[in-house]
Amino acid sequence: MSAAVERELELPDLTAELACAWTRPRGLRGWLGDVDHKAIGRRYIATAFGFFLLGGVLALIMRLQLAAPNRELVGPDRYDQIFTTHGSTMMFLFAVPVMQGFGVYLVPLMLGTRNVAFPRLNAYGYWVYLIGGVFLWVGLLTDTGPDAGWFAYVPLAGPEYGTGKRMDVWAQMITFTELSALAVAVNLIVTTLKHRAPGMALHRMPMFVWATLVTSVMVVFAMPAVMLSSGQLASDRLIATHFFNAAEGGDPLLWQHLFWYFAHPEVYIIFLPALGFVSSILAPFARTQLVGYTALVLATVATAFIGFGVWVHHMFATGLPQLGQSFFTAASLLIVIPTGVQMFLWIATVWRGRVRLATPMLYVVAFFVTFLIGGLTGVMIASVPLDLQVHDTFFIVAHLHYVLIGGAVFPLLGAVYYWFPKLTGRMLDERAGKLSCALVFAGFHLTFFPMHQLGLDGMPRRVYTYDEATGWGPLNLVATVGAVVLGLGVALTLVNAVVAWRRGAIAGPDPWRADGLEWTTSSPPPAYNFRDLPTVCDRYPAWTSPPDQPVVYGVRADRPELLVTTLVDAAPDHRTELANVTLAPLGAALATGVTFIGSIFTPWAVPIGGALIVIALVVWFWPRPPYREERLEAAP
Amino acid sequence: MKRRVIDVAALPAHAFGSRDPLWWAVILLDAIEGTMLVLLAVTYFYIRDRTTPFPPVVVPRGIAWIATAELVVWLVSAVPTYASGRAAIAGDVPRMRRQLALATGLGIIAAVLRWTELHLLPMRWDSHAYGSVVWALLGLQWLHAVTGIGENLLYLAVLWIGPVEDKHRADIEVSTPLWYFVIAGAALAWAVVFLEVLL
Repeated sequence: MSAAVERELELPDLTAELACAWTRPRGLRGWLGDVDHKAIGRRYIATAFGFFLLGGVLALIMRLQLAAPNRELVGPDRYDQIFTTHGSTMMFLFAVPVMQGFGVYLVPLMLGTRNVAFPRLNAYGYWVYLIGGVFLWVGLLTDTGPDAGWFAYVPLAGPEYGTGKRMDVWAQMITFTELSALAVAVNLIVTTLKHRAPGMALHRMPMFVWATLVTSVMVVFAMPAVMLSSGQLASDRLIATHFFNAAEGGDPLLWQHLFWYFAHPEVYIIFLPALGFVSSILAPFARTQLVGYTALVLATVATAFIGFGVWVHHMFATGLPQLGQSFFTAASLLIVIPTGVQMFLWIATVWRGRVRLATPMLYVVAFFVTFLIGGLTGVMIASVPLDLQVHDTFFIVAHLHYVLIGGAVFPLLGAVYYWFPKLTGRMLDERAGKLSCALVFAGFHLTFFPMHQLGLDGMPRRVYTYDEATGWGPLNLVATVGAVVLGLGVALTLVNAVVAWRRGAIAGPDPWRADGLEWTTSSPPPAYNFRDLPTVCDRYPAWTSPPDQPVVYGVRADRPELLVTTLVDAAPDHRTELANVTLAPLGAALATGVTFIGSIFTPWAVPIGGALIVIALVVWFWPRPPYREERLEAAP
Repeated sequence: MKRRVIDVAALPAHAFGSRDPLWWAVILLDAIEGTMLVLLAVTYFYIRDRTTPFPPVVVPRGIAWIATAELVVWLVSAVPTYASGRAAIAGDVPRMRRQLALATGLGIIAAVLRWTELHLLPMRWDSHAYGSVVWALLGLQWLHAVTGIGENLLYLAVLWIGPVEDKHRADIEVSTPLWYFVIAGAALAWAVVFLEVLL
């Protein structure tokens, strides 16, 4: 077998050929058919933040409704749709896609390659996600918004009580978004395993890549559960199956088992990439290498494993056997250990370094404080007696927002400030950033800390109003004021981003003097990412690579070609050609949309949509014509 | 100015087995669909535990024998599938065509048998939860089978129309785990639904 050889040579400038091979054509066809990971990643991030703002507006409406007793801003039916769409949007249309969007954008850059392993699948995943998200919101705006909570418990969500099409919209939105998440996960796993820069052995991968890899593996084994259960829910509703119908041998608790088998890992699917953000931000802002890299990796893997064994702690109030309750309490407490290991290692990193308190680092500090509180309340509700007392109260609302906003959104906002220069080539305003961080932090705690007390006082979740005699009014008013402050903080970041995008200070390749490969190319990176594909010899290549570190030579510049490396050591193995601009993923996504949406109204949508999908896939997979040189080679 | 490089120009433009990124994608697809199948099997036993008497209707042994025949056909199809993969590595295109066509033909026979079983079952998906889960399990495996057959037909079209490039050989070889997964799914469905009927 031919092998890669190390030598010295005069490198030709192949910039023009690379640009020609990798840059998409101008115009609508080029835009719709773009398969560049940076374009798809940007679209994921922008779309997810769009849904985040929409979900935030719904949150504000709920807070205004609950600001005082007996308010009538919205009625109970509309309120049900609002809290369901808020939760579904934040979990399925914002949190998972935005993390995956960052992965799609950053992972190939961090690995020193030029695109993801399967660019068309990447584009397909985005279009499917967009269709699913728009579908949910069209449902809400046409009074067909789902109304049984983001976890859609049966029988409320089933055919007996969930009349009309509202929960069908929810079930199919799930199918869209999970399909998208699975497509991204497969892409990121294979890209990470097979397209690392030569020398980037597994033990030299950036922490964010490790976090993304572990998260993607979780997606592969968790998301099928919700695709299956949402399919069962849809079939119970549409073709009269009886999976969850107790009268015909089904069981409503089966739904909860399948849903939470997915949905608890979902928390870690959202949260682990955020831990990757924290590690990525800490090194450059503490100006030192991470303490305990191996332990951080192992803790991430351990969190994922344990995350699959705790789902029943969401079901303590369903009357499960005591042995099961004890097991799942123990498993839920066990997860504190790897999380604690990570926290202490980060603190040790800060301790060892010289901290720069720029905006990304401030968000990391906000994460430390907030996530610690959320973690502690998590330990409390892992205990069955306490959980039974606060189950379905605002205490749980407080806990989950501390974990998800504190644990995921704060690091995410830090990541936005950190990588915005890479995405756009421009710096966000630092003063506005610090002010927004202060507003977000203060607003968050003002909103959610009082909810702990409201829960302990007995205020249930998902009520559209309450009586004055309950005494819940003052704390609810505080929470609403906090929500407005939090909203102002988010709005300030949005304004900052829009202004900086147009006329922010030019960032240059590496404004933070950071350590990863993504900072060794221009900001924003060219279509081909790196003129010369890098090699690495350390975990912090931008800091520690010697000036004569070799680059890769011999990957074709006139075609979109990637280097494939070996699984563990990332030694050069072979080259592979990628697909370029194509409308096939969009066509397949539209056919998928026809199938899923149409099936709500008629079973005929399945064979018709299925036929359309087959046509799209044949176009997708049909081999390109051979290049001229290949024809010449093949000629007798 | 001269620069140290790792020259990869002589490396091949395709690879077989786990060296090929596509092999990993196929394995992950198997993992995703396999998780669905296993969770459906779990659903079956969950419902079984809560249904008295179980099963609510007796599946005739004749259907179970058809399912057994189907499983045998699936298992036999592994042989030409394996042979097509080896032929792909060896670059023997005529043998690839023959073996892939044979495997696909066997798959079509098995899929027809599964279709027959579904139509002979004494219950529909909307009869009761048992009917729902049996139809779902057998139906999902049937969908996997149809997908595998469809993929093979596409490969056969490429093999017949040509030109057959090295990367097509690699694609065919690394896709064989999808067929093995379909066989494993058929075995799981048979064991869950029909084994008890035969015992």
